[in-house]
Amino acid sequence: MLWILACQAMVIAPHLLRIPVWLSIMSAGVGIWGYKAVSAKWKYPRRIILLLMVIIASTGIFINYGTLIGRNAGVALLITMLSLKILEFKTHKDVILFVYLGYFLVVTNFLFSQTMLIAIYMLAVSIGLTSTLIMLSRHGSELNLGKNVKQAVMMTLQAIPLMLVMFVLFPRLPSPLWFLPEDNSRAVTGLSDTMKPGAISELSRSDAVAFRVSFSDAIPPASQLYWRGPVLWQYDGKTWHTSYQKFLKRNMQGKYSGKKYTYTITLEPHQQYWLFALDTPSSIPPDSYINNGYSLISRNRIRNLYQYTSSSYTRYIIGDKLSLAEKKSALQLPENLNPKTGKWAREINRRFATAEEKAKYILGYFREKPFSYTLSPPLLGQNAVDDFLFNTRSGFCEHYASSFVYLMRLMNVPARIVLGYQGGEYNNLGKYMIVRQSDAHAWAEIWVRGKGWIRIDPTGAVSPDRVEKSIEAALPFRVSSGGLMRSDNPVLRTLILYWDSANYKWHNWVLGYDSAKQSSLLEKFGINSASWEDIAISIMVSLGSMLLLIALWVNMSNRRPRKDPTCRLYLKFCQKLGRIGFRQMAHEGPIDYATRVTGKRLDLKDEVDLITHIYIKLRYSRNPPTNLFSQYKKCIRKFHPRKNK
Amino acid sequence: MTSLAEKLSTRGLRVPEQEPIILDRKRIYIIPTWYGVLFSMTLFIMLIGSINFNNSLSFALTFLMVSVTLVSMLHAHRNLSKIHIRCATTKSVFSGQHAIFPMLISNPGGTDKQTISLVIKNEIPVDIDVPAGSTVTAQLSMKTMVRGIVQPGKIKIFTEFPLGLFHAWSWFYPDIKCIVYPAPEKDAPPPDFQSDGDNNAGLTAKGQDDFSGLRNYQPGDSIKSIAWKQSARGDTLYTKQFSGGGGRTLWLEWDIAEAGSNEQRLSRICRWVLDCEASGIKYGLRLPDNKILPGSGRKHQHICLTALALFGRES
Repeated sequence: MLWILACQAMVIAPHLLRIPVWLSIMSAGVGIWGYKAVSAKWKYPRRIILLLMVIIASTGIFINYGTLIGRNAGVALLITMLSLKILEFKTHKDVILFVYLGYFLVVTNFLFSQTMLIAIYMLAVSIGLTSTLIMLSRHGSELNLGKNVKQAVMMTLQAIPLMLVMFVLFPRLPSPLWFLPEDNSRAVTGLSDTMKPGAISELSRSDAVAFRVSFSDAIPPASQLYWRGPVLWQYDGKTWHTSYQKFLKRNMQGKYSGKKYTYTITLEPHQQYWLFALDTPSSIPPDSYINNGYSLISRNRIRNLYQYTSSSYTRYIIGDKLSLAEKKSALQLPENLNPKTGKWAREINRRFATAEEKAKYILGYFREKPFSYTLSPPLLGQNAVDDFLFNTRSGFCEHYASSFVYLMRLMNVPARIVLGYQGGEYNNLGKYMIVRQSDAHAWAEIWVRGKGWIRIDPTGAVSPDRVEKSIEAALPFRVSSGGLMRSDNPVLRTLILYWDSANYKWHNWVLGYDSAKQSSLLEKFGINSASWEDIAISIMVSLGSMLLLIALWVNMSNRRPRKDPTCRLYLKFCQKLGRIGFRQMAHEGPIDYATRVTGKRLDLKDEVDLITHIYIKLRYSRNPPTNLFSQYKKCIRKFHPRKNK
Repeated sequence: MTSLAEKLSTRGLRVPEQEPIILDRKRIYIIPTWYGVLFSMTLFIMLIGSINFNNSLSFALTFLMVSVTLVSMLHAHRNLSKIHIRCATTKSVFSGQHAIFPMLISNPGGTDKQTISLVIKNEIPVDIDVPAGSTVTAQLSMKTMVRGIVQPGKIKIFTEFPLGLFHAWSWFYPDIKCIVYPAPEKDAPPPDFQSDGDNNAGLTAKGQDDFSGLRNYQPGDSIKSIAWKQSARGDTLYTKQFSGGGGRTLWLEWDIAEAGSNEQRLSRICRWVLDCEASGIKYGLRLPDNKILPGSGRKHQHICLTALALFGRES
């Protein structure tokens, strides 16, 4: 019983932090009650009380989550049921149902976390549950825990090859069957589709991985690593929004030249629709679109790890024809704000003719005046741009990008803000690049007739290191929140990279195994147009053959245990005698047997007696002489009894 | 369904089998239990969930459990396969008692056979564990209702180990029987003696009163008449001899057992046989179709009671 409760505790443990506190306390209390009911003969509650508890708990869950279906509420409900089931342990059946429910709850854990550690932990839990089932199918109340666990481990090991076959071959659907209600309460670190001062600097403190990239051949230089996310058009004086976006047709892409990079991105779930690409993608992955900001947008919300392949060129011309609506939103500005900036903009506008010259001047301004790059910028007032440009002059990338675009728009140059990541750390062990939340960045794009949208990174003007190296190099002092990932210790750093590399493989091959990966893997095995029939047949064939192999394995261990050589030789001797009509009877010991044989066959007496004598000596005397065995072997080999005529 | 499964799995078992009975894969059958069905439903729901969330680890775990289920099927099968069954001798019982059929279940294989049940139809199953390379006796019992010979018929051996998801079973037909004596009548009147000699002798076994001497023990002598004290001194057993009962012989006859039906008569005679044996009197049996010369001792008692058990049943 204690074992069953321990299993339950193990199953629920990872959920504990996610479910409301009262529910955790309740399930713990119910567990204790259940244990006492068995060990100390406490009374089980009446049915009506159980029913009442179910109703109360369900109401509580409803109040907490606002629904009873959906992932979080569903899990909470399941935990309630699982706990209350303990108070209903009356028959064998109840306990078995409890275990089945336990397996179910194990699966729900994966909806929240799919790390390697969780997987290992859950494997252990499921072995525990399996051993509970073994225990339950044993009669009697004996508790040979070790034996049960050993058998469960054995069975799981035997099951793993089958599991792998099913895992690889089972057809994956590219999109879910139906959508469950959204759980909005979950906060995920990552870019959002708005930008206000302080948003990105906040993000820079997080070491969480945003995505990992593996390049198919060359790796672009650090200064090219602009990972484009959502593009922001609309400014209300404080916050930038996406608001305006239009999907482009597939053939409305830009003109590309220069070096081509092809890469595969494994995106951590960020609960948004957009994907990231190396600046402007020249190819669009399946199930996604591109909008007029040249951001990739996925058809589905990224709830799970998502992997896609895209490619980009170093040189491109995008959006060389600006539509009226685009132009309008690329020049949109809030009214009656930042008078000082407005005056300055008019001045620049008079002095320079082209957009590029104007941009160059502003960047020069950023470079020459005492602007500083800091994670904790001072707060800005109502006229944020005025404040920043002439007053505080210290800020993070969002401040620079924001005020730059603002200025450009004042000078009637279409401009917009691009959110994304800049840089990335290359993991030499796994040959891939890690891009973390701390690499979050914002930059600007201006539109120039004939050249389309041009990327301009005002932060680079202030702090070139940010672009060339990384955020660590760019910041004047170490940030307190840096944590492990920014550790200077080389050993630790290597270990971290190892760990991340293992994680990447895990993500790539286990978690990211989807329909695309599956078909490419099947292609390698020569199954090209993988139709349902083909897959069904290959599943059947491989499962069948696997099962056969395992059956052989299982039966192998059922064979007669290996006897020691003395015994085997003696059996051979008995066989030889059996051939001439003297089979050893089940009740006969070696001496009786020999007596019977020699009584009938005096001619064999010497040999039979000798062999029997040596056999007994070898098997039963404490320290038989070492050379005795070879003599014994020789005797038996030479023994060739013939049938009496 | 059960009866159909039984019919299918017992076909070919028309006559008792020769020993040892070996369970091979041709005669082991396996179907999922209701728990197995329920569990596969659980797995199916898990699979639907995995598909919907497209969650790799859920897939992995679901498939792992599916595989464990399949493996458990193999294990259940292995748990029965290559079992050797032999029968041991049975002890006769009186009608109304439980006949015990000892079955020697041996496991020559290298893995333990765990939680195996044997069951005679309509009786309570007997559960055993047979460790690798050993033999365990399963005492199958069967309630007896009438005298004669009982045979357990086809016996089912089954297991649901290790996970309770599959029911593997096999039928075997052991060549084993148990003789059921008639139930001794309670408070039977003493026989109206037609004994040689003394006419008004009752069952008050006088014979034991007058000790006349010792002789060497012969097989068949009643245990009660062994002179334990004297025997303990040497290494030979002695039997006490009594002057009174020594020459006394009772003929237990069909005709003097005046009871209603044949069965009641047999019951009464059975009681007399037991009483005679208990008091050490020599007794003979005269039935309409059989005659057993007087004697005493366990063996004699068994012969007499067997004759009673089989009366009218021989053909």
